[in-house]
Formats: sequence, C-alpha cells, structure tokens
Amino acid sequence: MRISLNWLRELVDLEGLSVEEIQYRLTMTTALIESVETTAFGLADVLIGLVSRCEPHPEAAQLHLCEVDCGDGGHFAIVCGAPNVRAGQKVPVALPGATLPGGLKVGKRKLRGVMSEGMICSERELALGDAQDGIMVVDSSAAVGSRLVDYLGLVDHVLEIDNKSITHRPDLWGHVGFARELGAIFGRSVALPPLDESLQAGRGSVPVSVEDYALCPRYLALAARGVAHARAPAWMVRRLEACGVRSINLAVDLSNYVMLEIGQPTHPFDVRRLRGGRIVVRRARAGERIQTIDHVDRELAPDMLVIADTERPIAIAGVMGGAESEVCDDTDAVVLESAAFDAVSLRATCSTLGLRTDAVARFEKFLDHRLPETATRRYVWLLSRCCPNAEVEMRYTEACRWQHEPLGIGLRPERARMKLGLELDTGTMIRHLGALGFGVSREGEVLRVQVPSWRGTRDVTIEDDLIEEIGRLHGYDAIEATLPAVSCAPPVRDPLRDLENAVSDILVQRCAMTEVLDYSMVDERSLRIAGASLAEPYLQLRNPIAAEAARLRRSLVPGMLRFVEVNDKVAEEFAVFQIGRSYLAERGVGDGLPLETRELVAIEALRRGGAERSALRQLKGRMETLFECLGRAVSYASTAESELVAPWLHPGRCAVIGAQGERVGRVGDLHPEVLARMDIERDVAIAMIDLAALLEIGESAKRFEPIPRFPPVRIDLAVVAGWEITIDQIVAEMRAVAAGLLREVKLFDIFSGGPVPEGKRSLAFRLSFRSDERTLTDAETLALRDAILRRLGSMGLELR
Amino acid sequence: MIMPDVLEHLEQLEKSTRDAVAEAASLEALREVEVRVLGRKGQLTGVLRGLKDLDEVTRRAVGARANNSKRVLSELIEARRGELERQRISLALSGTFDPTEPGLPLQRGHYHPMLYVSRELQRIFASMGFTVLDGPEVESEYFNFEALNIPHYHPARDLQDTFWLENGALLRTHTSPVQIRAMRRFGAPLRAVVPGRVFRYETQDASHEHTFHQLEGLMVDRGISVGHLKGVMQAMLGAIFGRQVTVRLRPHYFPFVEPGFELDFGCLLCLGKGCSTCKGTGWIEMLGCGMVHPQVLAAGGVDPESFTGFAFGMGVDRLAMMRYGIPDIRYAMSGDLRFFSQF
Repeated sequence: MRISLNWLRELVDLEGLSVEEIQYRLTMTTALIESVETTAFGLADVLIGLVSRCEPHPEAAQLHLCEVDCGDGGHFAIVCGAPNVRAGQKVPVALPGATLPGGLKVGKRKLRGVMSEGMICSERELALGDAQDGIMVVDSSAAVGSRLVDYLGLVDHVLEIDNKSITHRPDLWGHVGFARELGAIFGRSVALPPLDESLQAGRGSVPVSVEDYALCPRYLALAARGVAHARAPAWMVRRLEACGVRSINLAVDLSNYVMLEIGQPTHPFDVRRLRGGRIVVRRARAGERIQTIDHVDRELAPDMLVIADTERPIAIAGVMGGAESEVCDDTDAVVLESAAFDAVSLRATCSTLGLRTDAVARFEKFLDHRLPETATRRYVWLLSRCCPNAEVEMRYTEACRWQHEPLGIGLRPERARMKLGLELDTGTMIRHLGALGFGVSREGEVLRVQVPSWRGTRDVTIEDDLIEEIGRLHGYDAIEATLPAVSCAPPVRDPLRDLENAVSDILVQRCAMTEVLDYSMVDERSLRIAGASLAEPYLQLRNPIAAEAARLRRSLVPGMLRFVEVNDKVAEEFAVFQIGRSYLAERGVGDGLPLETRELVAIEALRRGGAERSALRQLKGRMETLFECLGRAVSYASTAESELVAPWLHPGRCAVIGAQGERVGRVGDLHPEVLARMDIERDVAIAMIDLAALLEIGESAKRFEPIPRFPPVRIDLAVVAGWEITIDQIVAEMRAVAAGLLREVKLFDIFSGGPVPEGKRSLAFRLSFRSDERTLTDAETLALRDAILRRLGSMGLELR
Repeated sequence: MIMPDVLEHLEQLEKSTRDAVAEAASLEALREVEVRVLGRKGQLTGVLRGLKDLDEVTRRAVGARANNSKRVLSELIEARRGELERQRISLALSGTFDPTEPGLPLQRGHYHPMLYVSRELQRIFASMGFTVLDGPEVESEYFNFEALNIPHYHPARDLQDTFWLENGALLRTHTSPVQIRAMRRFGAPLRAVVPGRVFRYETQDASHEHTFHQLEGLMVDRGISVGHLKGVMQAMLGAIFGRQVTVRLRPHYFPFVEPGFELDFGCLLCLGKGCSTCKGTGWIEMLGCGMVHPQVLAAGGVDPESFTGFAFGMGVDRLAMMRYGIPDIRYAMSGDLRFFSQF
C-alpha cells in the first residue's frame, strides 16, 4: 500500500522530521516501509522562466514570439499562443524532452516558420487546475530557473508499505491509521479529517432493506444530485495519483479518496439504474449473474451477499460494483453506499470468484463498524467543497443491527515485564498505551485497558496484544539480549534423523557420492520412462503447478531418473543419492495423511564398454561400505519374481538386501527398456534402501577378538562356475569342509568370456587358513585345499 | 680332517669371503654372503660346529683361528653394509619431485549445499540443548493452519499459497505445525528445532521455489521472554558466522506469535555502515520470529499462564545462497553435477 507523506502532513504534525527518520521509526515500530518514492507528478522538468521579450509573430496574429530567461537553465526562444502572455511575467516553462502530466511530449518544433524551443504552459496542461484559456502566471517573487514543483511545494514522498506486515491491522489501511501511529511515535498531535456534522440518520429518499444482518450488520445510503461532469480538484487528483489510483470522475474519486484516507470503502451507484428505487441487501439467488465493472460476467451463488435493487443484483457486496449501475460522466444523481460486511463471508466470496480488490483488502481485515458513518460524513464534507452545486440530502438511510460494545482487557504489568524481558515501570506502560489511543485505569495490581474501536475488531483482543503495543512503542532495541538459564539435560534424539545424517555423511565422505534433491511431485513423463503405472493410488494435488505433475511420488526413483539425463553430457561417470520421502496413501496414518517413507535412492552411471567394472558392482560396493560403516549386517539374495515390484529394475541383474528376515532394499541394474526410453547409452545401476527398516535392524555389537598368535597360510584357487550357484554358496561349502580353519575367503578376480565357456564365470579366491592353537603345517594346508577341491568338484565346479 | 687342512680351509674361506664382501654391490647380495658364511648353516658356522669332534689341542688352535675369522668377517660385513647403506641413501637423496605434479586422486563426494547448511544449523542448536524433530510433509489443515491460530477466514492464509490434496490434506506451507505436534508429544519445558522441506504454490523463478527448506525453532519454559529470543538468536548467528553478531527486532505479523518480529542482523560486510549486500541499511533480514501465541500454546496442550515461549522460522535455502553466492534457487533441485561438485 502507498501512503503519501504530503497527505499525512495534513493529518499529523510532522514538522522538523526527515523522511528517513519517519521511514525508520515506522519500520521499527509499526510496519515495514519497503521503499520511499519521490514524485513530482510529471512536472520535474518544468522550470520557472521570466518572459524577457514578447513580440507578435510576423506570420500569425494570435501567436507571440517570446524570449524566456530560465536563469541557470538557459535562454529560450518560445512561440506562445496564449492571449495573456506579456513581457515581465514569470511563467512555467516545459523544456524539450519533458513529458507533461497529460502525456504530451515537449520538443523543439517550428510554428509558422519560427523555431520554438519549449512550451509555456497553462494550469490545465500541467494538471494543476482547470484554467486553460491562458498560460499560468506565477508570483513575481518566484526564483527564475527553479523547478515549478519546488516553488509550489508539490513534491511528495510516497511510502511503500509491506502489506504482509499490516495483515492484522484494519486501522492501517488508510492514511488516518498511519497518522495516529506517527502521532504516538513522535508525540505529535493528530488532526482527524473534518466531517459533515449536520448530516442526520433517518429516512433518506432511497429506502434500504437488509435481509441478512449477519452478513451486513450496518448499511448507510445517502442520495446526492448535481454531480454530472464534476471533476475532482487538482490537489485531490495528485493525492490519488500518489497512491496509485487513477482519477475517473468526482463521485468515484471521492469514494476512493475517503477509502485511502480513513480506510473505509464506499460505493456510489447511479440512481437512474436503480430499478424500483430501493436497495436490497440479500444473498444471491441460485443462477443469478452480474457483470462487474471490470466487464466480466460472473455467476453468483447463494452464499454470496449482493446489493440489489428490486429486480437484480447491482453489486457484489464489498467486492465490486456492477457495470450497469456504475457512475459515469453524465451521472447526475448518485446514491452512496457505506456499509459494514461480514469479513468471513466476503473472503469466501472472493476466493470462489477469484477476485480481489482494494475494497476486499480492507473489508477482510474486520473493519471498525463505526467507519461507515464516518465515511459518509467525510464524503459529504468533501463533496460540498469540491462541488458547491451538488445537492446532498441531509438525511441518510441507515439499516443497522450493530451496537458498539466497548472492549476492556486486564493487563498485568508484571506479566508484560516478564514477557518482554524489560524492566518497564507501570507509568511508562500507561503512557505508551495512552499514546496509541487506549484508555487505561488502574485496578490494584492490574491495569484495565479500553481498546479503541479501530483496534478492537480482532487485532487487539487479549493481554498479550497489549504487551506487544507497549513493547513496540517503547522500542524493541531497549530489550537486552540474554540467554535463558535452563536445564542442561541432553536433548532427546530422533534415531531416524540421526541415521539419515549418518547415511549422508558416509555416502559423501566415504563412498564419494553426491547428494541431490528432487521434488515431492512426480510428473507423468518420469513415471512413463520408469515404467511405473499411472494407476497406483497416488495422492493427487488439487492445484498442481502443472497438470502433468499432480501426483505425489510413491518412490524417489522415477523423478531421479532425470538426473541421469541431466548429467549424461556433463559427467563421464557419476554416483548420486537422495534421502527423501515417498507418500503411500494406502498406508495412511489418519487425518488423510499418508505413510511417509524414509528412503535412500542411489544411482550409479558409468560409460558403457569402459573398464572392466560394472555400475552394479560399483554401486553394490558403495552400499556394502555404507552398511559396514553403519554396523548393519545385511545379506543379498536374488529376487523372486513375485517380489519384483520395481518395474525399473533389471529382472535378472538385481538383488534383495535383507537382514534378520526383513527386506531393507534392493540393488540392481536399471531396466534396459528404461534406458531405451531415455535414449541413453550407459551402464546404470540403482539402489533403493528403506531407512526405517534399516533402523529396525539395529547396529551389530562390536566385540574384541584376541589377536592371532599363529600365522595364517594363504592359498589361491580358481574355479569355473555357472550362475545357478552363488558365490556365497561356494564359500559356505569351502567353510564346511575346512572345519573352522578357513578364516577368510576373498574373491579377488571374477571374469567371463575368453577361455571361460559360455554361461560360466571364473572365480578366483584367496583362502586364509589359520589355527588358534598352532602353526599349520604345509601338509595340513594342502590336505585342506584338496578336500575343498574335491567338494567343489563334486558340486560340478571345474578347477582352473 | 687334520689341523693344517682345516686351517688352510679357514684361510681360503676368509679370503674368498673378503672378496665376496668387497664385490657385493647391494645390501641383498651382502646379506647372501653373510648367510652363506656366518648363517645358521653357513660355512664358517659349520667349522665352529665341527670343533666339538676335534681333540683338545687342535680344537683350541682351530677354535681360536675360526673365532678370529668370524670376528674379522663380521666386522668386514658390517663395514660394507654401512657403506652400501650410505650409497643407497645418497642414491635416494638424488631423487627430485616436481611440486606441481598432481597427487593420485581419490574420489570425493559432495553434500547438497542447502542440506549442509541445514545440518550445520541442527548441530548448532543441538549443542544448545535443542531436540531435532521431524514432522509430516503431508499435513492436515488443522495442524498447518487452525492450531496455529490461522482460521479458514484469516487473511494470513493468502500469505501462504497452499498446495491442496484431493483428499483435503495439504503440503505443509511451513514447519510450524511441528510446534503443535512437539508440544503435544513432549509437553513443556521444551526446546526443539525442526528442519524440513515445505511447499508453497508459487511460480518458480531465480528467487522462488515451490519446494524449499525451513528450520523451525521453539523454546517453551517458565519465564521465557523477548530478551531470551534475542539472546538465543544472537548466539545462534554468532555460531553460524563464527563471530560476534548484533541483532534487532522489527514488528511483523505472524498469526501464531504475539508479538511477532522480523529479526535483522548487523551486516558483517560493512559492519553497519551500509553496503550493497545490506542495501545500504546496515542490516540484513534473517528470519521471522515471535513469542508463541497463547492460543498456540493451548493448542499444544501447554498452559499459557504458566509457560511462555518463543518460536522462529528461517529459510535455509536463502542462507545457503547468501553463504555461497548462489544466484538462483532452482539449482537446488536441478541435480546438475556442475553445480553440486562445487560444494
């Protein structure tokens, strides 16, 4: 919202205060002033010049050739057509390059053969008044070469208020509210805008019937005539402009002016359009429509309040007027609405219609119900001064079921001191509250505080609200920063979060992986690429940013596949991971909330046909390191077909990671069809770990084992095996034969192809034999080796 | 064997060994000579072992001679060994190194910069006795709004454009609902921070994301004041920046606190004089905070007469962007390794 400092000066004494000081103190006490804009109303390039010579134009009798002295601004030859131009006058001069308020660009141009280097302006041309039959002449005391705006004192400073910081303050949506704040901050006197006090409540010529007082507790209607073609005075137009409001006609401008001044929206209707000559405030009927002044045809619903005549709606109450009853230039008789509307219903109406207006921004804040009368009286006061010919009925019609109920709140000064952390004496508190318009009386240890009507609608309702008033006016800078004296008991820990942090640390620091993040929403393209079904019970957004990304993810994988695409051209090889949540609606936890899984997904991408590495083995290695560092003992098994629920995994090259009979995750190659759909030629593997399940396994206990006293004997052997037998099974057989003496088995080479028959692989193991009782003899070790070979041979494995 | 033969054999052995020692060009070769002659099965050792079979006179003569040889040869070998070792060291010392030759690379990983900053904040608060908590990302309207003193008609709802789910739930617009959940679970006194992802229905641009990260904090105890809020925030910022930081409070409105503030800290670049980073004000806007609204305490099952508290919420992404000079928030979700490998 924009607040004009010139306007404020009329309402509060700001003498001797700099703009910076005002901005700073308002920001520190009331609301954030985002910026201060200086405006000269398009007159910045208009100087005061002295007409030093004035002669008739040789070619045209009505034109004059003038020489104008603009002091330091220079001397100019100007052709002027005004009848009243004379030598010796001081006049406003627009120099070439200036753009006047009406949009006219001033340039050098020839007039009847003579070059004119600028323009001497009329009041009308400068939007300073209506006079247009001659140039404007300023007082002879004006300094030649100075800016006209400085001479006239027109320059204004506009404070741009952060609307978010006044969401709770209905009183700050007009200049009067800020005038009150400044009055309190600087201890200056406030002069509220003058009202027409002669106006009487009673029966005006336009009857009003309110059918729903819950939605419209107060409605005032005032009739006036004689406003046809009337214009707002230049000073008013400038103030509206400073606040970003365009001038339209007097009746409308006055309504806007009153709103910007005291914060109460009003609405003038054209009486000619009022069928049946009366106003009915009622709910809309099903199927009723209205065209609003923005020329949009809107359908109304029965929960919306409308202003109607005897036949049809003429405005959406408090939101926007109808196009048909809009006041236009030739409107002579108007009826002014000034009312109180229910904020809750009004907000619902706006959100249904998707419509927000300046009036809504105010009504939704729970305005003071005294304001409709104030606004009416202010409107009339201004109307009678701006348009002396206007005839205003001295009675307004009022329909009202509202009564002001004074709000009193008890305040314990001790609690204020405690909550603020500030040793403030009670007298100072009373003074601060008084400055802000609160009435305060002492009742023993408690202060009885009367809330002024403009603060009492919702803003200030409890003791803590008063404490804020005291604190902010006193200044929060006075509160000293102190650390609380509290228990030093160690905080409760969340084991799942600790696990997540540990996983991230290990994967980054030990496994050299890069941590990435992805959105919780997943788009259809990603799901299609991943081969995931679109028909699973996804949670769906009602208002997605993009229609194709309305689903919440059920796995981190589909969304993360885009990282393979993004980095395909960026990196030779990469390994990324994400820790995040998926949302499983079918395993809800109540209140419509899904189970939020805690997952780790890791992706490894290598170039194809490179070194003798595979992405799957590399990624599995990283996962093994992870589990080892976490102290989690897991095992790997092939995936039964029924368990293959992840369509993006290669059905053959993947494994289930399990522990203690529970499945904690999977690791496998990306399905070749997924790669084909992405059109990517890479060796890509994926691991998916359920962190909640991993947490359940628990950390295996570490136990000391004696350092071996006798040396091990190491033997290498290589066998050729098919895929029907796993390495774990081979090792188990070896151990079974070696009766506790085989202490370590390391697979140090694995390959297929070349001399190895099709469908087989060569596995080279290094075996370590060791006894705790003695040094093993060569004969013993050889016997063990032979026994192992015999066992492996009997399983159909071939020794290489 | 008669004595002269033995003595001659010794003499020859000594002579050939002297030659072999002199010829040994490496420590390994010298060791071989040593083992061949003086080892457990060495030639000279063999002679010494054979002494026991000799008559006393011979044994005495040969023994003296053999022991003398052993001593002489041992010394010789030691001397040669010293020589060879010096040679080896001087050879080793002749090596040079180009200090710009790169080391053999070990791969390293990279933390997500926003999460890194969030975890750093968590560590700071944990060290100050705050519990680190989580809450649901899909939240109910009650916890996200109603319980936080934001009824459905409240204009503040427009401040936080919400992603609604078809089933009536929503994506949490802030981490604040965990305030209520935490108070209900742990009661008072309570110190907790809640890091997490939050969602706003917003068009994305360089400074706006619909998915971003917050860190919420809550402290409830007897006698907690605005002064404590200032003190804890100042301590936290001091820990982040590693030096003394000044803070100030400006009034601001958040429905779930009363009073509510924006907290600024004194610009560390210009020390308050005004620069482009602080837009000439000397202060940088850091976070929203306030004293927990009595209705919010009540919604959390805490008696607002006995307890007061403060709460704060900060944008983690903005802090990370400030720290690393990241110009566009959208990198956070990009997965682009050219971005992530910088951190």
